[in-house]
Amino acid sequence: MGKKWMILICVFCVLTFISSITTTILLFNIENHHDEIKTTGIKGSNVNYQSTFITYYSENKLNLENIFPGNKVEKNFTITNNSSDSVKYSITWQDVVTTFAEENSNFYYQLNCDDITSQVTTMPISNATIIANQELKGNHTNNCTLIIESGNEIPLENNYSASYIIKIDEGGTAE
Amino acid sequence: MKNKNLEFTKDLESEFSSLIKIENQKQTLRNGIIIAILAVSIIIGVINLVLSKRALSQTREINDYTKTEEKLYQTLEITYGDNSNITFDNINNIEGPTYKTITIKNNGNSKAVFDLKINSIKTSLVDQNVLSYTITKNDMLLGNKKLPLKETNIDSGVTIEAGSKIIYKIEINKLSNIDIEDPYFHANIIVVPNHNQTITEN
Repeated sequence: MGKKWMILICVFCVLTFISSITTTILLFNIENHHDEIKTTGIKGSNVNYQSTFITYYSENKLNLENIFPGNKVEKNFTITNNSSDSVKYSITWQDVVTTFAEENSNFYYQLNCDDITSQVTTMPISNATIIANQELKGNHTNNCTLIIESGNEIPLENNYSASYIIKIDEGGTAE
Repeated sequence: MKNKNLEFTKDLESEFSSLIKIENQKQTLRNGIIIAILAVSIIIGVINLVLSKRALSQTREINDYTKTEEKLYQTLEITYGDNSNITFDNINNIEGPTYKTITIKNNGNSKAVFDLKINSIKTSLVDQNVLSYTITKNDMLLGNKKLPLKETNIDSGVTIEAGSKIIYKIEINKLSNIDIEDPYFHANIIVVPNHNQTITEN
């Protein structure tokens, strides 16, 4: 092996050695930084609060005794999304107790909200969905009125009680 | 003569062989140093590889974590016993106390902070000494005060834990009649989110 080649290899080896040492020191520093981030906490910075207010201006319950023809009840409520992300909600009838053996076409409800109006629907005789997966945009209030009415041909001396429940979908917000 | 030449050759071979031996030893030493440096470089290279791989996986882990969003729900269900309005068309005609009940339930999975306030006040009153209110929170007396004539928080920075319920009962009383034309007082009691307070989850 010639002397020149030997010197060249030696220089190359020394440079490799120095660069390796430098890289090792740098990598150790990177590791330290990672450990610091992990322990001191990015945790918490990704918490996103979804604030929603559901306001019932009277009890969210119906207690109708001796329903008579032309009986009309209005229930007002609002759903306010205080956050910037949109949210989905559903409204359902629950805890239905009634003397009706089956749904009566002369006893019905309609939901009128700022952003949706449901079809006129007969009152259910068991738990039922009024609306499902309705989207409410961020920083927006939806004013709603639930109107329950009985027609002229409703059989007398019937009772009906139920609750209407608004539930925010916590499985995920609307895209 | 032939023998002398042979001896000279042997002497030369002997001397050169020792020189060659020394040179070979030096060459071996140089080669050893080069091999040692190369070996150390290779070992350090392997360590670098392992550390780089760890650094990469940790960076990925952190990045994945930062992409994960924790969503906490503050879902307040506010129920008024008899709407949110305070409506006195003629204060002098008030007989007996007026009651307001507000039930606030936190159906979410995170604590929330809110203010209870009287707003949208429209009144002909200029004197606060006409109407008073007593407020209780979960049957604990919060205060007995004059009904305000401008927008006021009647309970501020209230923290409600997830799954818990707060019931406010407000009793409004007339302190005295007033001698003005058309003494009326209209207002709303509302619940608003309080964004001034930082929520710390345990």
